[in-house]
Amino acid sequence: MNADLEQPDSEAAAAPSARRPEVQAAIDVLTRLERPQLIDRLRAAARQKKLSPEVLLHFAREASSSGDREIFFLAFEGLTRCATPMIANQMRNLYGISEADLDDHLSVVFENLVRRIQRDDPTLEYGVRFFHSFILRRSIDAMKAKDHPWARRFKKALGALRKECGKQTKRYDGDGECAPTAVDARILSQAEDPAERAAGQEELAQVEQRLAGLPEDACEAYMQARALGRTQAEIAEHFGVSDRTVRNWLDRVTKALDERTAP
Amino acid sequence: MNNKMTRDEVLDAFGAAAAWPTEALVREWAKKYPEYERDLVDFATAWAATVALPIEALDLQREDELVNRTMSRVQMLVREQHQPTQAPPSGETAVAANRLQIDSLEQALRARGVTSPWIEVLGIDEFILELLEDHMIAPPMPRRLLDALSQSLGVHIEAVRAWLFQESMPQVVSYSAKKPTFERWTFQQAVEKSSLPDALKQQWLRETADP
Repeated sequence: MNADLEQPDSEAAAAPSARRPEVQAAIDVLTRLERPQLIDRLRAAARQKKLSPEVLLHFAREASSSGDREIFFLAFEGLTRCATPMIANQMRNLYGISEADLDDHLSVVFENLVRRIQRDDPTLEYGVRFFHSFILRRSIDAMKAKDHPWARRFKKALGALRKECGKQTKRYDGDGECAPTAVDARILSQAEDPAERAAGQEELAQVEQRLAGLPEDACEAYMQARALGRTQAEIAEHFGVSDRTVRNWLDRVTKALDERTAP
Repeated sequence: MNNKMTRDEVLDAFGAAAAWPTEALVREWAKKYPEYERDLVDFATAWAATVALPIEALDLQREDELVNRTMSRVQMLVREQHQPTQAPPSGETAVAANRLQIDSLEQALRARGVTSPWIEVLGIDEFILELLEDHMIAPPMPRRLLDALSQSLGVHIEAVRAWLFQESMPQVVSYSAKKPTFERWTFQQAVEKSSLPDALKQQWLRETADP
């Protein structure tokens, strides 16, 4: 995590004003461009995913306020291209959404975003700070508001958590393109080695298979312990179960994760 | 805006505090907002899981299909916003049109691209929306809510009134000889029973009722 980040001004319930320096620098560079050049950059970004979603969200907001539809649509298309794979992954892997429901879900999420932009909702400033978590919140809200059959599925995420996510992140240097966070880079990057990606998927599928018999709560509890450092007592309280049950869950998940799949 | 943050404000601010959730971050925010600790932990767990998962690139054709569909819808929303305001139809015409078009308030809102959380667009929660959906709130109702519904649905305020305050038709079979009676709620009662933050409740309760 970037240690320079300030916490939002939560006491006054105001939107945080501090943007990440690399995002602000990219915005500044692009703001200095003439309109035709900016359009060219946004058009290229929409196809090649070369701008971070935070930067694109900023320009979508600005264009909406000034009534510049061309720039708004280009920035929003870039944003849609960045966010769609992320939302699709989240909804397929964590909540098991069907492909048909995914179409519907994406439309609800992006309509929500458009409406926030149209009314210049102050919470958008959170999205300009970290778009990933901002759109994740919108996606979870949309999912809970709809009648899609969904259920938590943390098994694949546990497999991924077990491996270190040490993927190479693409650098975005100079000329208005920023160095994104590791998460943004993974959202933006389409250039990973397909063989490596396939092998990773296979390994995750094997882990998921080994965890198949365990309750979802056990997997979520493990995620809370491992990723968030929650204590057994806190987890027990969260799920309304005994400490002993939590211990049992964590032991079973640990054991399943450490097993090797027979060749 | 008041000094007490709502659950949504806290979660949005929490999500903007770092690139991914850590133990220190969750502890800090849970200490600051103990009333939302469960929500913070739930969101942080989903957030951590999403961050952990590898992002699979979509097939380009599928991505184009999804993006094009989204952009068509976005263009429609933007066009709607920029259309000049038309003269409101007469109450009678609007009511007639409304009867044909609205079977469910929630579906009608969604069809117009208005999505939850309802507190953000209408200032109400799911509980109040359900009562409205079932025509279980009796008039009067604050003008602000009627206006928000009228604007969101793109129909005349009279159409909204006519739909909301029509006779409630509960889907139950009564074997009693007496005709069953269904007590409607007042808007004030609904607000008091809702899960809205106190400040919003007070704001609704202070507002002048629809004349």
